[in-house]
Formats: sequence, C-alpha cells, structure tokens
Amino acid sequence: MKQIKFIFTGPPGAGKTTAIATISEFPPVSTDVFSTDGLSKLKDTTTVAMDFGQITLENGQKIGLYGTPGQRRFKFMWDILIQGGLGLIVLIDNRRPEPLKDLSMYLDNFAEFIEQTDAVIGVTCMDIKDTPTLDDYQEFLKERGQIYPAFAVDARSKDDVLFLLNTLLTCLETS
Amino acid sequence: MKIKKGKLASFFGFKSQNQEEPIEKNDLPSIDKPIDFGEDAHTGRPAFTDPVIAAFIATGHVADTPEDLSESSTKTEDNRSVELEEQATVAGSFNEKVADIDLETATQEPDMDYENEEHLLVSFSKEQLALSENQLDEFMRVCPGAYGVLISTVDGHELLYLVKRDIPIHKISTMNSSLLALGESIARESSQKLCQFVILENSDGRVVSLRINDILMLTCISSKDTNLGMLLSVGRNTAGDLMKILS
Repeated sequence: MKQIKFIFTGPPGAGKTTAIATISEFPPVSTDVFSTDGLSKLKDTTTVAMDFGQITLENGQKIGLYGTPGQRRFKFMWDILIQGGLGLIVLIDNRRPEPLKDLSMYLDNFAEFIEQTDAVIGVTCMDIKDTPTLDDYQEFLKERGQIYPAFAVDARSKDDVLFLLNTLLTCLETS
Repeated sequence: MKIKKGKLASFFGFKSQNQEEPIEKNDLPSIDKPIDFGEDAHTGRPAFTDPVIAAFIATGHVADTPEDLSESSTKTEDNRSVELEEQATVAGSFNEKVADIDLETATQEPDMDYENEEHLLVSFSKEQLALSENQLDEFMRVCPGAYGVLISTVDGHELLYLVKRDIPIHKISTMNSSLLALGESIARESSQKLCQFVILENSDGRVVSLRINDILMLTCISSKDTNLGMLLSVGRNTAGDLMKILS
C-alpha cells in the first residue's frame, strides 16, 4: 500500500514540529537548529529543512507527515516537500498579530497544490488569544472564495491532531 | 578580478538577498546608503529603507520592538531585560543616538514575519569580524579555485562572505542551512556520529558546508581547480580558526 503524504505548514511557532511529534509512531526526524534572529524571542529553535514522521491507520495505510520550515525564506523547501503530497494542514498561531494575514500568505503560496489536493486549517493557541474567532476564519475564507474546515486545536493533543488528519482524509475521499 | 565582500554590521542587521555591494573597511559600516532588508513578506514593499534605521543598525545597538515582544514573546519581562543587558555588554559601547533610534524602532508596526526582523541576537565585535575576514581572505588565497566562502548562521542568515562571482549569497546561506541540517539528521538516522562535511560534488565544481559552532556554519564554493582534499582540509582548518575567533 503506497504511503500517503501530508504536509504541515504554517508560521514559525504555530506547532508544526510539535503536532508531528505528537502523533508520529516513531520519534520524528527533525532539522531544528538554534534561532539567531528575532524568532528566538519566541522560541529557541527553528526547523530549517523538514520534519518527518509517520502514522499507520487501522487499515494499514501509512501516512507520511512532513513539516515545512515556517519562514518564507525557506520557500524552496515548501516546493520540494509538497511534491507527491496529497493534502495540506495549515497551522495558524492565533497569538500572532495578524493570523488571518498569515493564513492568507500560506494559502497563496500553496494555492496550486491545494487546488489539486485539499487542505484543513488548525488554529493553535486560541486558549491564549481567542480572536480572531473561528467564525472570523470562516468568514475570511468565504471572502477568498475558499471553503476549508478550520478548527481550534492544541498541537500537543494527539486527539486534536488526529482529528485534523481524519478531516483531511474525509475531505479527500469525498472530493 | 573583482572580489565582493559583504559583512554584517558589527552587531546587527543582515542583508537582503540583493544586498551584495562591497562594504568599505571603516570602523563602522557606512550609513550613507540605507540598508535594504528586502521585501516585506506580505506587501512586497521594502521592509526597511529608513536611513535612521540604517544608522541604528550601524551603531550596533540591540534593540527591542516592545509591541513585537509583548504580542509574540512568551518570555517574562525579567528574562528579557537580562538578555538585553547581556547583549549590550557583548555588543560594546554605543553612542547617545541609540536612545533616539530606540524610540524609532519602538514605534514600528509589529512584524508578522520574523525573518524580516533586522537584527540577529548574536553579536560580534569589530575585532572578531576583522579577524574572521582575514581568515576568509586566507582561505581564498590558499585555494586558488575557490570563488566563494561564506559564514552564515545555522538558520540561514549570512554573516560574512567573500565572493569572486555574482552568486545569490542569501539564497545559498538559506539553502545550505537546510542541507547541513539534513546531513546531520541523516547521519544520526544512519547511526553515525557527528556530521563533518556536507559535500555537493558537481560537474564543474563543488560546494562544501561544515559547522563552525552551535550557531554558525562555513560554506566553501570552488571550481574543479581546487582539489577536493585540499578544499576539505583548508575548510576544516578555517572553520577551526573561526570557531576560536567567533566563540
């Protein structure tokens, strides 16, 4: 059975590496290095190449989980990692100043990929900052003419991350 | 043969991918020309071209943007003030302009894209940078086929470089950070120990990357005129010397 490939993306600090580590059945391959710029005020390390993990579904289907670096200067890695991918999970950190603008940036940069596959959106840290609300996210997507499921998630919660994965799988099956 | 040199301002500021003009060897980097930090990730407009900001960068003050920190930082105020104090000590002396410039940066809009923050939180003295530049000069002298040598951070920011051709330093520093990190991960997964070099062997040249320390890496670019063994050997020696200079 061929491995399905899902890609996690989103701004730095949104929880991509954490989410993959939460559900991967083996310790994920990570390429985290020390942050040397302003990001270090938020977190000590940053992903500069990719995260890789894997999960096996009940029917034996393996899903490869690939995490991208968050910074736009690593866009070349985004283009490499989406090759052969079947779906995108966008994690947005609600604590950031303009999360909707962040979402817009990632949807724009992955537009071609999403058009051929599908996407779900996970909004992290809504317990710390609850605006924009999920309704705001849906309204924003509607204005863009896009419909993707958006949920509040905790990247450290296995149930939450699996829920995102299952939602994406369902979207792919029904599209 | 024209050699392009580039260096980070003594303390802060990393250049955009288009900023590769030679820099005069003055005590402080020139502030006549505003430093271009590239385009804003969302607007596509230049992120910073204000000469006041350029002057701020040139004087090397470690500045905060309080709005940025308050909205994004998870550290406590105490930790932040200690960090700033330590950075101020490491960065050296400042002139009185710093206070005014600090105010300028404090009123900026918080930047969503952390990569557009103009300062690195690692700083080096003029002496360290000068000695490092000497090391790079020596590397180029010893390896006649080498046409590029670059010190960059492990998360992809160029710090100091010497190039003989027009190559995109910013892209190379970013991509090599990915490559080195991948190389180290592959070594770990292969049950092998410390990755020493990542070597790209191409039809007409080679690119070699290796670590200097926890936060810095060295990239050496050469044609086939330089023997691989020599490139690796000189590269390793240079990295070793740089580790002592830049610790």
